[in-house]
Amino acid sequence: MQMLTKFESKSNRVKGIAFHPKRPWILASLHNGCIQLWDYRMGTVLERFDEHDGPVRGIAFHPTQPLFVSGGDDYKIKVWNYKTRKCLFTLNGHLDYVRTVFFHHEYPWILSASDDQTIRIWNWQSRNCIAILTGHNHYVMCAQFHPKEDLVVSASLDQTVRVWDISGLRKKNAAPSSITFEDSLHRSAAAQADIFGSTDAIVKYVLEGHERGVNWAIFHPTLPLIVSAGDDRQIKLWRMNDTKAWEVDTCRGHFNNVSAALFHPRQELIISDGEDKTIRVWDMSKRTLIQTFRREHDRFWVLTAHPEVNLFAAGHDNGLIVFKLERERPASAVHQNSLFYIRDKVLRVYDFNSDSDAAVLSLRKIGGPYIQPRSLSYNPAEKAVIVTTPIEGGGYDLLHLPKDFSGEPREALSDSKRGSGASAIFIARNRFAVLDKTRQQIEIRDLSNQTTKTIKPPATVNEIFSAGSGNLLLLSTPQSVILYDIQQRQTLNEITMPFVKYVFWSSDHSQVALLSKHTITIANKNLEQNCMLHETIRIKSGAWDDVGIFIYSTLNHIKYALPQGDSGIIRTLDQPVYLTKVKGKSVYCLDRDGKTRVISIDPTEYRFKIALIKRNYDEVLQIIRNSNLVGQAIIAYLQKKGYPEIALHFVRDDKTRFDLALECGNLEVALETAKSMDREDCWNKLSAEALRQGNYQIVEMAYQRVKNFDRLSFLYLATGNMEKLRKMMKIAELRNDNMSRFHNSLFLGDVEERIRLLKEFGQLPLAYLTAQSHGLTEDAEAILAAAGLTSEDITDLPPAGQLLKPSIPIIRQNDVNWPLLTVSRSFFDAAFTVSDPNPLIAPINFADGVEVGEISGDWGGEEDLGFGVEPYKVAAEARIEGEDVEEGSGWEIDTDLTAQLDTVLTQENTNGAQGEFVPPTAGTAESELWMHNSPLAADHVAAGSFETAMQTLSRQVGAVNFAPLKQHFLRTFQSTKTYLQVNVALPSLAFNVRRNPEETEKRRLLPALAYNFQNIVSTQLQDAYKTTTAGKFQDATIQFKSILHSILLVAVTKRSEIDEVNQLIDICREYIVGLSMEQTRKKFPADDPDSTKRALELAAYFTHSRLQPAHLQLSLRSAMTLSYKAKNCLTAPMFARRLLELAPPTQVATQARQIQSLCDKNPRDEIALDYDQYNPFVVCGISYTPIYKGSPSVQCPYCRASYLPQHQGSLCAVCNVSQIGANGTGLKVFV
Amino acid sequence: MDELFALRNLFYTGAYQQVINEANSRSPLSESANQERKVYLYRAYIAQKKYNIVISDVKDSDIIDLRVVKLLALYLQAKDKNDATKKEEIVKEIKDIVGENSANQTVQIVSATIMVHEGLLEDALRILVRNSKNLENVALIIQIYIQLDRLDLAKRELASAKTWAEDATLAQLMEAWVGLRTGGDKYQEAYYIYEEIAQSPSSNTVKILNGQAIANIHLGRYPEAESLLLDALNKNNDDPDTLVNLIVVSGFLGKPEDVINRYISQLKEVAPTHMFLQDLDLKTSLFDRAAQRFEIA
Repeated sequence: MQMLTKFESKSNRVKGIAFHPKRPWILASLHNGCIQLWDYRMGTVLERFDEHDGPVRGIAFHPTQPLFVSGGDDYKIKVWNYKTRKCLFTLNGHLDYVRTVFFHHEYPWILSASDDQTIRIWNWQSRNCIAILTGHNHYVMCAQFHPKEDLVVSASLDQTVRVWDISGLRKKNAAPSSITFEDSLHRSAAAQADIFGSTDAIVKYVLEGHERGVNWAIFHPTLPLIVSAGDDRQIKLWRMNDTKAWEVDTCRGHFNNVSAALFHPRQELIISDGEDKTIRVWDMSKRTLIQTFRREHDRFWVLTAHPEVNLFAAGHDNGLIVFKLERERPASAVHQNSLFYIRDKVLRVYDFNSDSDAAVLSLRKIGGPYIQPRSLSYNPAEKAVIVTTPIEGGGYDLLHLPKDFSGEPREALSDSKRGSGASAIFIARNRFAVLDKTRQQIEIRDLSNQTTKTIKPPATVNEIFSAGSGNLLLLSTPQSVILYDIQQRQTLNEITMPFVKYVFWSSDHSQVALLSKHTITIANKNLEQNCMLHETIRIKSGAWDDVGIFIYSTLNHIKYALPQGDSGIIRTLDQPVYLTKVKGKSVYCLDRDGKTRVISIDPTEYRFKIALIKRNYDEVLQIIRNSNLVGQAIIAYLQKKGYPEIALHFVRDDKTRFDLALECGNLEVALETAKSMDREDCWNKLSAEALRQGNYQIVEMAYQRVKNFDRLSFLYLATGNMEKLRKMMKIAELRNDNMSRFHNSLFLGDVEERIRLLKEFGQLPLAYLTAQSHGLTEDAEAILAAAGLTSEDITDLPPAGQLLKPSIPIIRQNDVNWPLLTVSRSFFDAAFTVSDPNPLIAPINFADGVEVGEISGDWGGEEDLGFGVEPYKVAAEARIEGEDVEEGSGWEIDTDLTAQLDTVLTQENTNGAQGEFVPPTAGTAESELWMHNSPLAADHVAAGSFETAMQTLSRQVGAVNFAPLKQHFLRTFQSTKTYLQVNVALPSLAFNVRRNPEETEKRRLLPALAYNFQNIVSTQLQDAYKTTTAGKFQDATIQFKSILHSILLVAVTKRSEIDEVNQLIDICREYIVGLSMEQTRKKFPADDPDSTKRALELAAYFTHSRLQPAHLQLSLRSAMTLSYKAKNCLTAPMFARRLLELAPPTQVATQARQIQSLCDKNPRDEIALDYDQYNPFVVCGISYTPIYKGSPSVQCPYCRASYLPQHQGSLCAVCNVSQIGANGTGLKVFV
Repeated sequence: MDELFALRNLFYTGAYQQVINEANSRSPLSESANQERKVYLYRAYIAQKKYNIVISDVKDSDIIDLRVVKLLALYLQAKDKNDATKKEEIVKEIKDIVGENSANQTVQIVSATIMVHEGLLEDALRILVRNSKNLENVALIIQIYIQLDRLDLAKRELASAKTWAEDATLAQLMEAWVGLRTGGDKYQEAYYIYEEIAQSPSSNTVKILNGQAIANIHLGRYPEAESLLLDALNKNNDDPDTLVNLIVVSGFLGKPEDVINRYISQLKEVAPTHMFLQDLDLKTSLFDRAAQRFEIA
C-alpha cells in the first residue's frame, strides 16, 4: 500500500480539517486562530477567516448549504457563509475550549464538544442551544453524530467513550404538522428541564477500556462499530447492538498519543494518526497493522475522510496533507475494439462497438488483499494478459484468457507465471519485457517466463512502455524518454521531459503522446518531438481520435491537442475519468469506480482546426457552412494562425471585417466595409494597403474621401494624370490654399502660373527669379518695372541652376489601374464567392445502378436458387461409402518408417564425428501425401498427378475427353504452391497451400483448390444467368459448360453440399440442352416453311427445360408467339396459359390473354408437331427429340443428359467430357 | 557489439538496395567488418541480378571471400545464359577452393549455394555442417532440408539454432519458413513474424511482403494476400515470386483466365527458368500425353 499525496500545505499547526462535500476545497483551522480555505487541486488558498481569538480546533462544512462552522478556544462557535465570506452569527454558551463541531446530516443541528465537560446540540436556524449532554467528567475531546441513526458518540479525557441516544430530541424537533397547545406547552417545559440533564439525550452506553484519555471516537458509516483513539497509544474497536456495546479489540502500535482514528469508507481498514508523527493503516478484521507512513518532524493532530471522494486529510504541526491510499485508475488496455480493464479484481472486456461488457477472469489471488492491479498489457495473438501490482516493489502475473468471453468469470489458473518487476509489457507475440527497478535491468522473457535476454538500460529507468515494434521500447527516466532498440542495445532517440507516466500510441502507431504530470509531448514513431504542451492541472489520461488528434483528460477537463501544439478545452468534467477511446463524438472512458462511461463531445472545433492545419480546405468549408462555430475565440485563433481570409467569413462586424480584409489583402471587402464605416483612419489604412498593391483607383478614392489633397496631387503626378492635376490646382484656388496651388503648378511644370502666383502673393523677388531663370525675360522685366527697380539693382544672383521639370510618366493610363500586386486568392475566397448551392458540399447523386440486361428488370431478377436438401441424399451418401475403400493404401506407413529411420541415422551421425556427416535421404513430398489422403480427382490434380486424376474421373463419371478440362487442371495445379526465396541467390522454396490450414496431421493434409463450390454458385452461375437473360445464348452455353467442368475439380466441406453439387450439375445440363436447342432453332431460315415445324418443336421443347422462372417466361413467350404466328391455335394458348401461371409483367400478360382469346375462336393447329406436352419427356442431347417417359434411352454418366439409344458410346454433347452410356460410380466431391 | 548488425538484417530481409547504400556510405568500421561489408555489398548486387558489377569490380588480388562471391556471380550468369560448359568449369573451381578454404564461411555459403543450384544437395549439406554455429549456414541447411521434404530435420535444426541465436531476425525468418511448411497454428505464427518485421519501414521489402502474403494465402485470407502482393509488385514489378504468388492467389479468388495468363506471360518474361514455369510446362505435356490414352478411338 502506498500513500499518494495529492496536496500539502505549509502553515501554522493544523488542529481541525474539513473537506467540502462537492468542490475540491478543504478547510483548515489553525492553532493561531486562523481558518484557511484551500483549493487542494490548484494548491492555492482561496480565503482566510480570521475572527477567532486563539486556536480553532473544530471545523466542519455543511453537507448542502454554503455554510461552515468553527469552534475555538475563545469558547465560541461561529457559523460562516463562505459565499459572502462572512461570519453569520456566533453561538455562545460553552464555558471552556470548544474541541469539535459538526453539522447534522439532516437536521439544522450543530454538535459541539467542549472542555467544559459538556456536549451541546445547537439549532443553527433558531440559533440557540437545544440540548446539553452532560455526563463526562473531564474534557470532551470529540463528539460526532451517527451518519444515519439518532446516536452521538463522544470521547473524553475521563477515559470513556459514550454513546448517546438523541431520538427524543429528534422527536421533539421533528416539526410535527399539528401541535396541540398542550403539547407545545409540555415541550417548552421539557426544554427547560434539558439544561439539568433531561430525557432528550440520554447516555446509552459508556465504553470503558482506554487506560488514558480518549481523543477521538467515530461511528462506522454502515456497521454498528465505533473506533476510538486515546492517549494510551491505543486504538479500540467497539461493537454495539440494541442493548449493549462491547470492546472488540485493540490496535497497538502507535508509540505516542493517538490523535484521531477513522474507518476507511470503502475498505475494511482503520486509519489513525498521532503525535508519534505517523499515519497508520490497520486491518479492521484482523486488527493488525498494515502500513505506517512516517513524517520526520510533524506530529499529527487530526484526521478526516472525504465524504464522497476517495481522499483523506491529516493536519500536523506545519500544515496538512491530502492523500489517498490507493490508485483509482483502473488498470486497462485497449486492443482494437475491445477494452480490457480490471474492476474489483475481475478482468473485464468491454466492446466499444456493441457496448457489451463481460467479466472474463477473476484476479482475486493477484496481489495482496488491499492491493489493486496497477497496469495491464494485452497480447491479442496469444490471448494473454500481464497484470502488474505494486506489491513489494512491483510484481507481474502472466495469465491466459479463456477462449471465449461468455459465461461466468473464471478463476485465474493457479499456474500463472509470475515474477517481480515494476512494469511488465508485451513487446511481441511471444515476448514481454520486465523492468527490475532496483537492479536497473530490463529482462526480455518468453511466454514460459524464461529470460531470453537481459539489458542494462542506458539511464535510470522508472517505467517502460511499448514502442510499437517488437525490438523497441520506450524507457521513461526521471528527465527524459528514450527510444531504445533492445536488439542492438542502442538508444535511438531521446526526448527531454519530466518523468513520463503514461504513453499513448495512435491507432496506426505513427504518433505517440507522452504524458507526465503537467506536460504532454507528442512525437512521431521515431520519437522525434512534434510539440510539447503544459497544463497547470494534472493530466490524467489520453486517447487518439480517429483523425490523429490527441484527446486527453485532466482532473477537470477533456481537452484536445493538435499536432503542432495547439490545445483547447472540449468540455469540463466533474470527476476525473480515464480515457480509453475516442470515436467520432463519443469519448469512452473508465471512471474511478472502474465503470465504463461514454461521454459525448462536440468535435467540431478541433476538427476544424486540424482541417486547417492539414489544409483540408474542403472540410474547413464544410464545417464553416454546417456548424455554428462562431465567437471571438475562433476568430482570434484564425487570425493568429494566419488565416484572416477564413476568419473574414465568420465576422459581421465591419470594423473587424475591415481589419481582417486588410490583413489578407482583400481590397474589395475592405473597400466595402470602409464605405459603410466611412472613417478617416479606415480610409487611410485602406489607401496604404491599396497603394502597396498598386490599386491606385482605390487609393484615389480613399484620398478623395478624406480630402487628402497633397497626396492626391502627388498621386496624379505619379500617374501622370495632368488633367486631374490641373483640377487639383483649381480646387486649391477655390480652397484658397496658396501652398497647394504652388505645389500643383510645380507638379504641372507651369512656370507662368508659378510666376503669377508669386506675384500675387507679393513674393516679387521669387517671381522675378523664377521668370529670369526660366528665360522669361519679358515677365522678369515687367516684375522689375512693377517693383520700380532696374536690372542693375539686382546683384548676387545665384549662378545658373537647373531646369526643374516634373518627369513624365511613361505609362499614362488614366482609367486603368496599374498592374496589381498579386494577392494570393485562397481556396476560401473562391469558395465563399460562389453563391449557393456550393458544388463542393452539395451531395452528388449517382445515377441509379444500371440494371444488367435491358429486360432483366421486367423479367425479374435472379431469384434464389433454393438449394434444398432433397430426398436422394441417402442414396448419395450410400454411394460415397461404398466406393473409396480401394484408396486406403497401406504403404504410407513405409514412408513414415523410412523417415523415422533416417532421423535416427542422422542423429547418430551428428552425434558422432562431424566428418562422418551423412546427408539424409529425401522425405515424402506433401503432394504425395495429398494423393494418399484423398480419393478426389481434384486433389490428385492439385498434387500434379494428372494421370491418376484422369483415371479417377474416368472411373467415376466415365470421362473420356479431357481436352476441355486442360485449363481447369492447370489452374487447379498452379494454385497449390506458393514460392518464396528464402535464401539469397538460391532458388525459391515452394510451400504447399492447404485447404485445411488448421490441420497438421500428415494423414489428413489436403490441398487448397482453386475452384470453390460456393464461389461457383455465387459468381459463375449468376454470371451465366445474366448472360442468358441478356440473350447471349452462345456465351451462356460456354459458361454453363465451364461450370460443369469446374465442378469436376471441386471439393466440398460439408456433406450437405454434395446434394447441392448434383443440383448444380442438373441446372447446367438443363440450360445447356435448352440453350443449344434455341441456338439451333435460330439458325433456321425465318420463312422456310420446311423448317417451321422443327423450329416450333424446338421452341416447345425449350419450354420444358427446367429453367429459372424468369428464363422460363422468356422461352414460353417465344414459343407462344411462334405458335401463334404459325397459326397453331391449339398449342399457342397452352403456352399462354403456362406463361400466365408464372405471373408475367402486365404487358406480357395482356398479350398472352389476347392470344388466348383469339385462338379460342379457332382451336386448331396448322402444323402438327411431335410434341405431347402432357406426356413427361426429356430431350435427347444430340438429336433434340423428345424421349417420352418409358421409352428406351441412355445417359451421360456425369451430367445425366439423356440420349436416344443409338448414341450409346459417343461423347456427351452436353458436358463434352464423358462417354454416353459408360459406367460411372458417380462424382466424388467430399473426402 | 556487432558492427554489421543492421546491415545483416537489411540483407536477410531483402532490402538489397539499402545494403548497397549502407555499404557505400563508408562509415568507419574495423578492418574485418569492412571486408565483410564488402562481401554483403557484392552479394546484394548478386541478389539484384547485377552480376556484371560484381564480375568487373572484384579483382584477382582481392581476398578469397570476394573472389568466391565473384564466382557465384559468374555461375549465376552462366546459368541464366544456359552455358553448361562454363557452369561445369565454375563448379570444378569452387570444389577446389572448398578443398583449400574449408573453414571460410563465405566460401561455405557460396559453394553450398552453387551446389544447391546444381542439385547436389548432399554435397551442399556436407559443406554447410562444418560450421553449424553460423546462422546463415543454418538457414541454408534448413532450406535444403525443406527442399528434401525433411521437415523433421529442419525443425530440429531450427530448435537447436534458437538456443544460441536468441531472437535474431534470421532465426525468426527461419522459424517462419518452417512454420509455412508445418501448418496449423504455425501459419499464424509465421504471419506474425513477417508482420512484425514489416513494421520497420526499412524491412518492408518485397521479400517480407511476399512472406506475409504467403502466410495469408495459407491461412485462406486471399484478399489480404492479394493486396500485399500488389504492394510488392509496386515495389518491384518483375519479382518472380510475387508474380507466382499472384497467380496462386488469383486462382483462389476466381479471377478471370486472362488476368492469370497475363501474370504467367510476365513471369515467362522475367524468369523463364522459374520452377513454377518448369512445373507448369511439365504438367502441360503430361496432361496431353495422359489425356490421349482415354480418347475414344
